Amino acid sequence: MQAVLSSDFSIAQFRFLERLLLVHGRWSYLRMCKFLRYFFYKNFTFTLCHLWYAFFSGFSAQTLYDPIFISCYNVFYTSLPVLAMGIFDQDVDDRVSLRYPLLYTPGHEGLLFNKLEFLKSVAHGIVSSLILFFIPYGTFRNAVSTDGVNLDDHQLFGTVVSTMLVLVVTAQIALDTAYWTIFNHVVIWGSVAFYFATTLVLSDLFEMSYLGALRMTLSSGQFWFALFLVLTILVVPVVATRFYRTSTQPSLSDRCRYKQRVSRLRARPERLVRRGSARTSRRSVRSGYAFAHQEGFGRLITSGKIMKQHKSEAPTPMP
Amino acid sequence: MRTKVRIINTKSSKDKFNEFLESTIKAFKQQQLPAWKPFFTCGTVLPSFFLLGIASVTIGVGLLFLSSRVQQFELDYTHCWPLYGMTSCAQRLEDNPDSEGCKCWYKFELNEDFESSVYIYYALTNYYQNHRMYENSMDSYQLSGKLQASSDCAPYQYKEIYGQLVPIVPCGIVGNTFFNDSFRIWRHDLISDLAQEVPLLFTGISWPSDQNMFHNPIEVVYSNFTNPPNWRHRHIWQLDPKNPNNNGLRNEALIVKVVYSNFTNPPNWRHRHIWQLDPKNPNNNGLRNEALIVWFRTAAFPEFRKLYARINHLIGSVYERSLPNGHYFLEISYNYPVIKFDGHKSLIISNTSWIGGRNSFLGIAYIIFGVIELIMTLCLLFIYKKYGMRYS
Repeated sequence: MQAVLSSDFSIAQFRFLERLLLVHGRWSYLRMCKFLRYFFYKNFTFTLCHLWYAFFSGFSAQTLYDPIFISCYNVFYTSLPVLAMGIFDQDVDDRVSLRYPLLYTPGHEGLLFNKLEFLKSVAHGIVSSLILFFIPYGTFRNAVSTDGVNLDDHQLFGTVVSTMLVLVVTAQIALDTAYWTIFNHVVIWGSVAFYFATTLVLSDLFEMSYLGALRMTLSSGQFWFALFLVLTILVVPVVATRFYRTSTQPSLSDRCRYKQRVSRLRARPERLVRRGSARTSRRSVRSGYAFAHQEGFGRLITSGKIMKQHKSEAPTPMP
Repeated sequence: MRTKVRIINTKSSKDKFNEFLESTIKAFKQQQLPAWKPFFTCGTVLPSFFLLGIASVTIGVGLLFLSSRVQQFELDYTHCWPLYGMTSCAQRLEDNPDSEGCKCWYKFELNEDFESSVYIYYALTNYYQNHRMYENSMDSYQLSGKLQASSDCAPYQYKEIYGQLVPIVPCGIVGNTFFNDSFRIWRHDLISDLAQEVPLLFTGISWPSDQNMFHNPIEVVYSNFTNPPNWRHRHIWQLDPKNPNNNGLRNEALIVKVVYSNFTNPPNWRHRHIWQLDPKNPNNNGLRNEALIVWFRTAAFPEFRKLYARINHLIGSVYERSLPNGHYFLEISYNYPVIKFDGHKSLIISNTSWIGGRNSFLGIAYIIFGVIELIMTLCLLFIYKKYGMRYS
């Protein structure tokens, strides 16, 4: 009991170790890396817009967004989708993970998050913030509505960029999420709906000048066209690079996903390499528990019978 | 003989619900929840990219066309000269900031009819209304009718009058720098050689939500008092809402003046007071003056334009459907100094389309993006055909 309480992971029997590593460990690494990459991207996109605005506000450190938006962005509008991805995401099934242990190699080699991946997230954030700032800048500079009233004020511009930002980062998490459970659906669409609901209701909590800004934004045609353009400019390259990579240099994970998608893999435990642990179906008088009083597997292992079986079997061919 | 006994499954709905709940919880804990696993295949990605490219180019062309149909006339009058005088109006203001009444005249011609509705804007350049210190130096609370002296507005919080500190309304730098040039336009009818003033409307130029935010503290006057018992729900300021000069104890402009009597105007306003902003229209006077509301909606960028007035397209007049082409005279009351900070002032006459004024940025951006995307789709198709992995 003490050992369990002081450990990070505890398993009841040795046969669970394989699942712990190949299924849960691999998924955990995948989720953690995706989470980190997305988090850096999201925050760089959010913050750098202020940098671009500084060039137009006399470098007076004027914030672009509503103070309420700044407070709520990281906590309420964008945290739940990435949290749901971090909890539920899977790239392949658990059966496939066990069947192809080589899927574990990205974890060994640190392929999914390293300095290069971090720099890629940062670069993605920089480019996104440039598009998110300058396309509304070009659209709303000297802009007027159909009724002639001004749409080129600071608060409306801040609202435009905030709304586009929330939608763009939600689109990015939607692209990153590979396993859409009902929870993912609820939090992703719900976060966007929550943003609109709170901004429409609370826009005048701190700054009275933001009152009515979202309503004027949503009722202007320029906003919707600019939004569509920004979304496509930021989503299409991501989709294109992923498509290119899965077409020309598919990783083992991509190939397994494709195989899983095309044909339903049924678990065939007899053909698996882990011959040793296939004895779970049979009751054994031997116990794997270290402190058991019964006879354990010691004599069986040291006799070399199991090792001989491994050597004689040919490895399962990879598709 | 053996009789077969059939056991009929009679689970109650409660049991079924419990089963469903248990299976869902099990799926959740075992990470086997039903899920959608999207995968980018050639069949979904490439056609949608292609459609997107075509749509972008089409939308871009449409937006460019709409924007080019907007008619706009611009006139930079920063260095205009008065009819009589040795220096330009700008120079006169520089030399003597207290000088008033410098008027410039311009003659301009519109080559085509400007279709209704036509709007008049003034534009300023190199003017950082979005500067942090500028935007913070105002008091929204005061603007909503609850007059107070707020330290946010320092140094334009108090003005010294005869040794006494009197609080300013509207306080702050934003109020102090209220744009005070005014324009009058006449149409020169060449046939009859008469100049007819173009009717302008100074209301309906601000956001409706802003109009609900700015209030004159009119009820404040009577707030410490109440109506006689027999009047029930009728109050003294409701006696004739249609005619403000016949309302309350007397005339509303007077009441407005009384209400603001403990406050003064910002220094740059000189002799102009807040109750004089639109004496003809009491609904547009005081803090509800729409030009003031428009000014307080601080601009996002250093070059901006603000709506000054709408052309009054009176039914039956020559302006019913458009601002007709022809010769026009413009009289500018030049009061606002801009050459100190290298700014420029312009007058803009423009109409709008359903996506706003003249702005070709979005159209061009869509077209460029659409073209790049179509090229990229073709490249991807080529790469996929030649180098794409065929999964066995």
